[in-house]
Amino acid sequence: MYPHERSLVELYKNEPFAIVGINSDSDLDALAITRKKENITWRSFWNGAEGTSGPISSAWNVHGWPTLYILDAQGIIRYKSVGANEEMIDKTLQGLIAEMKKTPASTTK
Amino acid sequence: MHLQITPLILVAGLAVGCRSANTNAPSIDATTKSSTTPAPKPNEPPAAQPMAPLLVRRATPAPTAPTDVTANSTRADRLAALTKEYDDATTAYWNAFEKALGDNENPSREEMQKIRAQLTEPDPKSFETRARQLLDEDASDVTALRAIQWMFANTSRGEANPELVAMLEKHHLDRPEMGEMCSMLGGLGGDARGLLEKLLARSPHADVRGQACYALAEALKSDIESAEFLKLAEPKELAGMKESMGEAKFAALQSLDVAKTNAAIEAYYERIVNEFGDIKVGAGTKRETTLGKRASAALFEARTLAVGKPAPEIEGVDLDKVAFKLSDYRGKVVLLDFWGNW
Repeated sequence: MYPHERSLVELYKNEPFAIVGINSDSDLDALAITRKKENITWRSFWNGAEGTSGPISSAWNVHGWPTLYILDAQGIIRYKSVGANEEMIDKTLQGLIAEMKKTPASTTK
Repeated sequence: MHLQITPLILVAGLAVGCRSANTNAPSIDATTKSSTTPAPKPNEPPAAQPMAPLLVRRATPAPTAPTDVTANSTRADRLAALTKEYDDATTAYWNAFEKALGDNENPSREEMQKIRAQLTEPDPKSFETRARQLLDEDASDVTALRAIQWMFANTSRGEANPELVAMLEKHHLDRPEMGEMCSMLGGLGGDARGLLEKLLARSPHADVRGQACYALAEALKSDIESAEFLKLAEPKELAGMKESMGEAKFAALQSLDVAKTNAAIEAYYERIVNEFGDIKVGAGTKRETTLGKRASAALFEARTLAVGKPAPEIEGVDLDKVAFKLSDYRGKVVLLDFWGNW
């Protein structure tokens, strides 16, 4: 997943796009090494010390990793999947960013 | 991610997400090839496809012994011997495969095919023949049920053999053991769905009816995922999928009424909350819960976390313990990724 996500960050670096993770590792120190090694520059919520039983993944009924959602600029869910299909993700993101360009992005309060 | 993977069924590029962490079923599942090894072992090598491995957390209790052992100890012994032989052969094969891979963490398809050509993969058919022999002798005892269960898990390649389904319907519909098969039946499609509906309608055991209900909901969810995938797939991917799943299933997915299916899914979950809420699942494991809790969570997801709905707010801390919110990203397209590096 990391190479694909790094490539997305690069591809859309000048676009209104962000990757936001919810990480379910319980050991943050071990994770720090991976974050550096894999150059994970995007931000992640921490799901807490209970790891995969933590509050955020429980609230979102996540039982398989990775689980992905794509939100448009208004915060509407436009795609969800358990497991990462890179082609689907790429196509969906492409479509949504193009959509944003057609209608001027509005900042919602 | 370096994950212990429970492999996906790769239907010519379609990953049917193995999402059912839902029953106290043994780790006998249509999507795995290994039947009785409790610790998930990658039994497909890393796929040379643009697909991230999927980790599904599910309870994997030890396989249950047949209950009428004294009367059928010979048959039970024979089944146990055959399944052990298959497990041993499969384990040996994958050990040899991994050894041949060596340090190669990202083998190409050609490299994998080359290794495959050098090794002898255990032939499920010969084992299936022996299991069938047990059924020919007697299709009605618990050993017969276990044999069918084993075949569904190991030799079915995702399709529920109609003869075997018919045997289950004829001889085993009333058995409590059917509960642990529901999750797997949900993943097999075809006649297996009909069997689940019969279990829901007629099993004398509430937990079997509840498991069947849940499995039906999950199976429909999987249908929607597949149908959505078909909409975006490339023509040659579609051709491959059509070949793997058969024309009938393919056509059904192409014409799937998503709204109607979502309504049916919600109806099943509501029924679970109302009728089967207290049925325990994952008993004795870290993920012990009830069907009611699972169904409530699933209903919440179906209603609140559906495509087209606004994403709920997330307020938390990042990996450097700094607080932030999901709504901070309003105005941007967001890829929200539940991930882990375990």
